[in-house]
Amino acid sequence: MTVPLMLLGCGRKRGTPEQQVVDLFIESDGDFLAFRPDTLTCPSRALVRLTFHHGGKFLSARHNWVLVHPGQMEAVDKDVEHDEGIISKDDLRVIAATPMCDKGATVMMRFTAPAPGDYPFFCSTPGHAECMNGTLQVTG
Amino acid sequence: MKCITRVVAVLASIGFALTLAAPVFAQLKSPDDVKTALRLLVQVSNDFKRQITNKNFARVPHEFMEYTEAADALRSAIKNEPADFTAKVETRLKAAVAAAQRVSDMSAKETDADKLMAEHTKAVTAMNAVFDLFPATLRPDPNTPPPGRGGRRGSV
Repeated sequence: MTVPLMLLGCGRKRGTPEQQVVDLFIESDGDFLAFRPDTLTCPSRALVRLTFHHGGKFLSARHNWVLVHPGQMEAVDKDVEHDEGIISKDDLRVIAATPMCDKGATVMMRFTAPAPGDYPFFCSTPGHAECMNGTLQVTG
Repeated sequence: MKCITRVVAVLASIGFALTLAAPVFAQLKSPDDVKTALRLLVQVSNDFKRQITNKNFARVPHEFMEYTEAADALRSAIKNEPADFTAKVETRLKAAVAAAQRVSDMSAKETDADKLMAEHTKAVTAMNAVFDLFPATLRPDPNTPPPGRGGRRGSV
């Protein structure tokens, strides 16, 4: 009698609910220095599966998608300026970052959405962030 | 009667002359492609400026490479236009690319951002001469902020 009750207990979802999965898509506006769309939304703590596509056809400029904590975009961008925009995996200001993409390429990545708030994202190729940036709105 | 015939003939001549004189750009076959290519030239030119201002001179040759790619996009966009028009564009485009190359070459040795900016200004003038060959509706406005959220940088 005890064993079936224990098994029943295993099937119940107590405490933290199962992590919600959210798929997001974003791309560069062709060869132009802009993201399309430039605003994304997801709930806090969700597992985000983000697909980034480099929509360029003509220019060899590389792009990526870098999500940082509020107020950190400019500093992170400045720090990688002389490293071809390559983001260090150890940078605590960075929440998530895709690898650099060549034109026409698509990459996917996963991360857990942070606490509710507005988080800036940008392309870290030197000189791009000024125009190529947007906001991830994380809802409660 | 003769007078009316003459007036009609004169008006027809004027109309014919105006048709011949109409700018070739009124009949561009791929205006959207041309608009994109011209915007790319401005975008890359602005990138040149940004790298020079930030004293990131090592990136300038990369911007030059992109400039040649944007120039190729324009060549591709007008390839089906009349030969005399493409020849005119090619002449000015070559001059613009050569001016951009001078900025790139200078950046290898020059560390004075002001001198590089002066050379960049010449390249912009050469680029604007290319734009003059196209209708105003297709020309990018260098004073218009680029697409994206540039104005909001650092606001979040």
